Amino acid sequence: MPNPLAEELLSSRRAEPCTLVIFGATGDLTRRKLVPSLMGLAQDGLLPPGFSAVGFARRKKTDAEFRADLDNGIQKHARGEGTAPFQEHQDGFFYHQSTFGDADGYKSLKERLHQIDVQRGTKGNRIFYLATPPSAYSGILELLKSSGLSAETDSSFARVIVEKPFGRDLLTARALNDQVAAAFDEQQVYRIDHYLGKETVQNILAMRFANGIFEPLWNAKYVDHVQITVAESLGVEGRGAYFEEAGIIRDMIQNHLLQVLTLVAMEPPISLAADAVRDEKVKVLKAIDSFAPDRVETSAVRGQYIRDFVGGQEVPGYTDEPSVAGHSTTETFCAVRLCVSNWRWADTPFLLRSGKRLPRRVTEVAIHFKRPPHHLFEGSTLDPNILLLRIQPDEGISLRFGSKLPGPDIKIRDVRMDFRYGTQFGDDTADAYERLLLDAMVGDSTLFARRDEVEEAWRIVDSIVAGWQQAGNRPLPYGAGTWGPAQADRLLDPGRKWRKP
Amino acid sequence: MEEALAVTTFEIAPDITSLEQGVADLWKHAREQRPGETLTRALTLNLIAVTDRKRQPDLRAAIDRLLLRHPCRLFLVIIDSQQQDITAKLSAEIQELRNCIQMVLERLTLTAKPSDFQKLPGLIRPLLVNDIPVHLFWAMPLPADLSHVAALSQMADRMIMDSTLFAEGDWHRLQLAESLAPTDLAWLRLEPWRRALAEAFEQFEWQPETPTRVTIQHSNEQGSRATAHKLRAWLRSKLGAEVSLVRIKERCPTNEPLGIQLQHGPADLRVRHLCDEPRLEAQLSLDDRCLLPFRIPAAADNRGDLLAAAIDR
Repeated sequence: MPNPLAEELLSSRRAEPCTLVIFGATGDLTRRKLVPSLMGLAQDGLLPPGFSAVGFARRKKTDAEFRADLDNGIQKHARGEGTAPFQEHQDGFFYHQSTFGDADGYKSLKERLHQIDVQRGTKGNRIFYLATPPSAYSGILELLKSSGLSAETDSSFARVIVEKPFGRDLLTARALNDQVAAAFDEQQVYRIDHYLGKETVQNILAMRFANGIFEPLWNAKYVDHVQITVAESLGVEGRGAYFEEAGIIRDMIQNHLLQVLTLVAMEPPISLAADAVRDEKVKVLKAIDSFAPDRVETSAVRGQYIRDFVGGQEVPGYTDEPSVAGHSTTETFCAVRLCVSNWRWADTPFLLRSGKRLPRRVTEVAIHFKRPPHHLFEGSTLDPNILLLRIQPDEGISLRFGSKLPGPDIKIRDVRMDFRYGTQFGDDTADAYERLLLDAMVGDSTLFARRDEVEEAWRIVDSIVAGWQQAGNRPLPYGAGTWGPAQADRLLDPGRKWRKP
Repeated sequence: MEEALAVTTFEIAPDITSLEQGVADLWKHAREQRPGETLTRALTLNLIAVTDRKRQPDLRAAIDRLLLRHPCRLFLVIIDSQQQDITAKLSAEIQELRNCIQMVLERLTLTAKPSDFQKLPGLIRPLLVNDIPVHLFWAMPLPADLSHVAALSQMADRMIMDSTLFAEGDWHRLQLAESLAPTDLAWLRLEPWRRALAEAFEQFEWQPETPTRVTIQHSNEQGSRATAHKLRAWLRSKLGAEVSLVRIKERCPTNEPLGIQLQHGPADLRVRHLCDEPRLEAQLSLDDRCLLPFRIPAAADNRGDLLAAAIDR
């Protein structure tokens, strides 16, 4: 018999009881993001009854010590009453000491998980979170496979969550994907890009497809160009060693910016099922041609910040940062002009820009529409209409349009129509990781990157990097606190300019 | 989220014959705060809230809370038998942000005696903002003459009430008036209880032919009694259960039931309200086996959050 009380009460997005095994659980991500986000879910009553977590790491710790560490992190990073839910759930948090390459450690993990199933009713459902450096992935995946932990049954699931970076280039991304595929089927794999968990990024789909007014204009006939900006005001902040290997193009463009671009450019999906949405996103990436080396020169600009004054204080240049080589040629800024070669977007430039030590921390998508075909208003400069999707901060949407200035003449001035998330929907919105963790528990992979998405994005980025390597030029300098090298302006068509958000 | 640099509130007392001019004056005053800056309005709904003088402070607190999620144009109607003629006050709350100033609450307060009720719709109707919903929140016991309620509800897309404020028999009278089908905040208060029960029912197979016996414990507080009655009606309709109500001494005041004991075949389920925290705890035993208890957040303890939840539906 179906549950007679379930109607309207139990959401179809209800998560089954499960155990989350976090590899690398003593690291920063667990303490700062994962467990506080779990407590956010608990606060909203979304964590399934009996939810359990096992931290798998090398250091020696007891369950109690692990819980105390987590509690510390929750007090600093959880929203709302994070610590109160942890008091109720902490009995479900365990620590398992082992190295990632120790087969016996996985055997004992399996036994432990079985005990948790019995004690806490987690029904054999497992999620494995790889919160480790990518170099550890292959060993963990092999042993998850050989121990039988990656296997699903008819009544229980096994999933794996992988953090970015998904490889360093197409070759390594494919190798990583192959390693994952050797242990898990693609439908068991959840590649996290936390941008996709942001309410405002998801709102791109809602705005486009829940309203009838935008889609007729959402194409090359009416859109002049699109600017996507992810700007950070901080420098590398102690992550110099990692950043030297990555650069901004791998750290931000390959994942966050291209993901946002796919949401902006995609065709309407036939449904909101995970693969229906992701199929359309992949099509966008496939419609972006790889860059020939000579095209990189005119379509991509890279820069590196140098010493300058920010907020009245002098800040060091990139090569003066700790763990950064004095002769480093790693870019801290990148601007790319690319085209989505399909019927909808032919010849419409998409301009992507990301950088460290820019004037503000801001992420936005600016759709610049074409000017009216005939200028009726002498004496007025008609700026193009801009639909601005503010991802962070000051989350919301605004539309810039022209309006008549009061007075005897017809003079036009730009005004703005504004929707602000915070004002309309109040504070205390869930962190992106909350949404993504819940989706992984529920089994909804819509907001996770699929294998082909990742590889297509690498194909594009690899071609740009290859062009830079062939040219052998150093990144262009820009003062810390400025909007990047002036040479980035040449990526735009005449009469257009980069926004200064 | 961008923080407001400053929040200011100001008030005027126009004549009731010139309320529209009063609203225009509010906007003029707001623009004068920062000349040349963009003035925008954050508005998701019109809210007509009716209360009496005794309950006015509670309602104001609820609306302050509601505003966090739903900036609105508010029509606050205070029914006061001591009032002579209808008086009006207009006030606005303005947030100054980095790039603009934003009106987040325009409040029209009308104070009237019960016999002037029929004049109120005519004052409110012209000021309703187009293209956004109109909600009516009746935050007091029902009047003897339900046509007063009906007159306002005809302007509204939805009516919301809180039956924990009602006198005995009020809900029955309301059900007889077919044109009024409000959302009841008391029902929203019960949602965590219903969810806890539904969640527990996922753990075993319910058999309709097996009897279900339920005891609902409540305190002597009007709200606790009212919600216990509602829960009883629901369980009877969903499960065909035999449900009894038991009054027990409460440790702390609440508008909710205090506990449920439910037996169905081998299943023994207890749900209790944890008095010191806003949580419910459910403990299920099957045969002789105790399953892990689980806790879920109880309903918000304040009317503002419940009102926001009702509006969100």
